[in-house]
Amino acid sequence: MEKSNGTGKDYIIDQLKKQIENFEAKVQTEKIGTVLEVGDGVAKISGLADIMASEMVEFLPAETFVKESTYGVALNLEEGQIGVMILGSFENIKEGDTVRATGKILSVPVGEKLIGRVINPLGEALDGKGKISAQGGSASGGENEIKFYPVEKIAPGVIARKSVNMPVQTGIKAIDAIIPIGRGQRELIIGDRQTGKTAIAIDAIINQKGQNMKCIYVAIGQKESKVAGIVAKLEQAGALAYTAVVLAGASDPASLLYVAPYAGCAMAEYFLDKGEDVLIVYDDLSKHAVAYREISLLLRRPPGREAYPGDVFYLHSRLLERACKLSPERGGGSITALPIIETQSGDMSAYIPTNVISITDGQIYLMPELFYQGIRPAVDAGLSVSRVGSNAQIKAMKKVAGKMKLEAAQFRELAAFAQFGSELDEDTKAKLERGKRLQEIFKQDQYAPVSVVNQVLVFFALINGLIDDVPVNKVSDFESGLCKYAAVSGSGILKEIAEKKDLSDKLETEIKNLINDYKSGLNYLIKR
Amino acid sequence: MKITANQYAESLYEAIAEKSQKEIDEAVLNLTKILQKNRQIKLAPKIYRKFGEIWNQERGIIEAEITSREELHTELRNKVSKYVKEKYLAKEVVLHNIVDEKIQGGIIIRVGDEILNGSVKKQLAVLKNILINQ
Repeated sequence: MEKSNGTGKDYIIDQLKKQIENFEAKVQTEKIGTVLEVGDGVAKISGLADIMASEMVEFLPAETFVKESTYGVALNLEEGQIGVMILGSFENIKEGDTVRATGKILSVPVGEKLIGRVINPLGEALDGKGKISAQGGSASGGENEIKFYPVEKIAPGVIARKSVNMPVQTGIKAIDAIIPIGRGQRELIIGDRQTGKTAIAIDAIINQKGQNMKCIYVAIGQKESKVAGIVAKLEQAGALAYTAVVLAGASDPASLLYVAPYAGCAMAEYFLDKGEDVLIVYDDLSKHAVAYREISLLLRRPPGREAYPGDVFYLHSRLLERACKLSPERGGGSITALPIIETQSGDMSAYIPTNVISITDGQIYLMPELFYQGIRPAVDAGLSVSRVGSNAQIKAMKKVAGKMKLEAAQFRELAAFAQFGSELDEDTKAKLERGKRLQEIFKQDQYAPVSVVNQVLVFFALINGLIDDVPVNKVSDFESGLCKYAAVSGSGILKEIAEKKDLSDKLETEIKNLINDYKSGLNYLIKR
Repeated sequence: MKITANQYAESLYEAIAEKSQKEIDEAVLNLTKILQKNRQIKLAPKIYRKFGEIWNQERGIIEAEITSREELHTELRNKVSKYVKEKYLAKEVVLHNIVDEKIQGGIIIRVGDEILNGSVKKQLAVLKNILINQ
């Protein structure tokens, strides 16, 4: 036993000896530069003549006690110097320090290991569950191989794409009915502060359970306490099993905030390349634009409208254009983007909101007035649109949602008119009453997504006048009761809707009977 | 518009190229007067550095910084000088020898923004990386 141990040890030592003997150091010319000036997260560097745009540079610390070197990204390539955005803290960088070009474009680690984790935009763990690249990270490959994707990538072209044809079920009734979202779509969530923008995005993530969807939540300039709350909620709902959180907090330097959405998108592209569907939330892009403005102004790029630099449109368009639905030949994966924009006192015509509205395939507008009236989610059905999503709705939903849209539009018109309190004819009254019930149905609690089958059932009841005799304040009771009743007594019908995804005449009669059966047991109906 | 240090250095070089010592003295004096008038005296060190660069470039002189553990002896100095001269096609090489015990052995040659790191310290670091990764 002892002997074999001995030979084992000898073997290792022999191997090491061999390796060291065969070691041959190749001396290569390295390009270096010198820090001319540094401050506020950017540095000016002389030298580094043949550096690439957005190449990573390494700041070699002058002091030996500083173990980790800092990295930066070359943004401005000028005649005699380059402007570098410093990733991370810049306290250890001084004038005259040596800078080395790495020859690599800024890249982030991607892969299955990121799922369930909270990471910063450079792929470093923030959740205390160990290093992301802890097991190896070697170039030798194998199952522990860590892949790196560049943060900046040109979006897929026309040939690689396919039009949106599959729905994203957000589980939010008002959205799935009136402003449906398809896989590969970019749908903006816009509204003032405290109107429930993040809540919609988180609900959508929670509802992706079992829908074959990976989710990435990118928090840009958010309070860390808020993100901690979100992560806890996702974990509680079991959503962390398919979600990664990329966090660039409010206290992080602007450079990390700037990189965060691109890093998140690179992580999403890994799954896209595998043919999977990804939902990515950018929360929020107004703070991203502000961070980019800060960097641009420090790099002395000329300011434009609202002091944003000239390429702030390209900043967001190149990011959102990477959301796509790929053709089957390219794997058929998709990236659905839900960017969030915060407006200042409802000003949708400010610079950044108009830019992002024009880039995306529609917007969900959240109105503070509705929010305070207790209509939550406070989706304004008039200003919200979805330009491509209705192609992706399942047929059963399309059948009921079309009439829902009409009812909602008529109600909005009449409600404004009816405020004058004049005498109304019977027909108008009936429409108003139904509109009130429709509004009740669209109210929904947070973290309580509704399955598409139940949505079809409830919408069907409304458009066929089966809720007209339910008092307005009892509508939510009626709805939850109906869903429970259907789960027990009408499971066959629910199954048929889920499988066929369409409503035949026979099925419609069955649903009608089911709802009437349920209603016969109720005691709060209005007698007529 | 403010005149930059580069512009001063370039014009100074043009003004004194192939002139007599007396004319050169006059030109330098004039430059200081202009600097004073424009309140840009503080640019003097930068102009001096830039002027040196232009001077060297125009005359094919290359400055090389050699870091070694001990002072280089003449034979080695000549070897390095010859190597740099051939590599950068220079007419003349000016060597600055820096002694740094931390590099443990070997030499580091630095020319402009290029570095040839042949120090023992660097090679040990490379060996360490290779041993860890295999």
